[in-house]
Amino acid sequence: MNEDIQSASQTSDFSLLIARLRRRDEKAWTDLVGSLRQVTLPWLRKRIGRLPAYAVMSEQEFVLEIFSESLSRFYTLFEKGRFEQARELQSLMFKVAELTLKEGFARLKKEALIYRPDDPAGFQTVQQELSDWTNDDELARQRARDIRQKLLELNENDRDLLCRFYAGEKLADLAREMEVSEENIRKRKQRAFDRLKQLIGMAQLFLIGNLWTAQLSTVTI
Amino acid sequence: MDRPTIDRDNIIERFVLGQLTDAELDAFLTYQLFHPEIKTEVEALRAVAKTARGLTPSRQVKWWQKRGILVGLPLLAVVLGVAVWQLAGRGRQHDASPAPAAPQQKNAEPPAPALPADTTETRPEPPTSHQIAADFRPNPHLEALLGPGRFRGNADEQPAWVKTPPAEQQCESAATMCRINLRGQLRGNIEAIKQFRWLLFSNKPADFTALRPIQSGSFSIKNNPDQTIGIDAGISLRLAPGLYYYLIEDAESGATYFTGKLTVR
Repeated sequence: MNEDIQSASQTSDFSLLIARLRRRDEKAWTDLVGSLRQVTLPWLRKRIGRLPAYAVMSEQEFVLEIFSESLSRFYTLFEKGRFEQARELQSLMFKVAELTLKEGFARLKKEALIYRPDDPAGFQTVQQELSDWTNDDELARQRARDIRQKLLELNENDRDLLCRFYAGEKLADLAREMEVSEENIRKRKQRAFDRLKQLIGMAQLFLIGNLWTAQLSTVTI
Repeated sequence: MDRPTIDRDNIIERFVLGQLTDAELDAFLTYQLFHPEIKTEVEALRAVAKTARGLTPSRQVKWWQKRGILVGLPLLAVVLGVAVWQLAGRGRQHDASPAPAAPQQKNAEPPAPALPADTTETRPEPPTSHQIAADFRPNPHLEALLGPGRFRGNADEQPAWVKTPPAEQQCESAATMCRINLRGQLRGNIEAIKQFRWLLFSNKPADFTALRPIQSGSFSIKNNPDQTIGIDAGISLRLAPGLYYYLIEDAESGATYFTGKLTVR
């Protein structure tokens, strides 16, 4: 925990901090999020290590995804819980993160089938291992297929730019390679994304988002 | 953090890509706690990013492609070249003065082994790109696109098929030139149709996602008496046995108007 939270605990101001958190004081929550980030992210990085080859995200993105989901669950549980000491908050966060991480690993496999259906790397293994494929997963796969098809309908420049950008290539590197300014490539990327949004339709896109957020089950610890 | 800041600073995209600073991250995560509805947008963008990645062949940087190596190796070669040149120069200077009696054969290299008698053997030519594909596994991306393309726009302006080229074609023998018939009739804006081009891909997903066609070309355009516009491309290629896909697309917008497949047996 960072110094603010520690000192709150040491000087018996912890109850004051809890009261601010319960009032949804933005500054108090931002500080708490920062302090939880400082202890949870290194732990998550260590637990995750290297992701399997079939993963459709980098380790850093997976860590952030797990942390963000854990935080949402922590927030829900905080409202129901009673806390006497700062370390109880930290302990709750670790418990939630542990559970979210377990679910996250299971989801990595599903996502490999959803987003990388024809990648030979580990695809067969993943398919054989999965026994809990649900209707929602099937729906997510169909929607990912829709996005893929719309991506393929973009012209080759737009598609290449978006794919490379979302695969983690920096705009500065892309700009250097294409011999244009970074601002120019940023605009081109934005226009390409807008065209994709038009093709998919925002309503459809948000349905996809809703599908995943709905899958974040409520948790009791 | 507030909504205008999130939009102005592209926070959601940078969050999904893990590019926020610590302060931005804490502020955005707090915003997300108070406004859970924004998670829908985050997850939607994540889905797009993951799909785009699924389309991108893994770009693992090999050790020889790293920037340090790319810059370092030529530099090392130059330094070594200069060193060798200087040593050789010194050697020539020494040669000018009377040389001390050298120990006989002390550092002499062993004689090179004799070359094999038959030196006329030529290396087989590396396969050209159109000789690489040799299997019949369907490409799922292209299978999903088979047939006329589904495109949007003003129906009066947008070219529409009256008669499409064949969706499946076969070449019986790989030994002769393979003839691909891409003849069709459309209605619509002739200027748009003039932008059409054909592309031939192998069945390898990586070739398609990286947009590496085996060959591409344009069509000859003809105004028909029945107000339709005919397109025709007579393609003759020598192809290895395998499965191939041909696409007809608008060269300007990239919209795919037709996808068909060709089996070379």
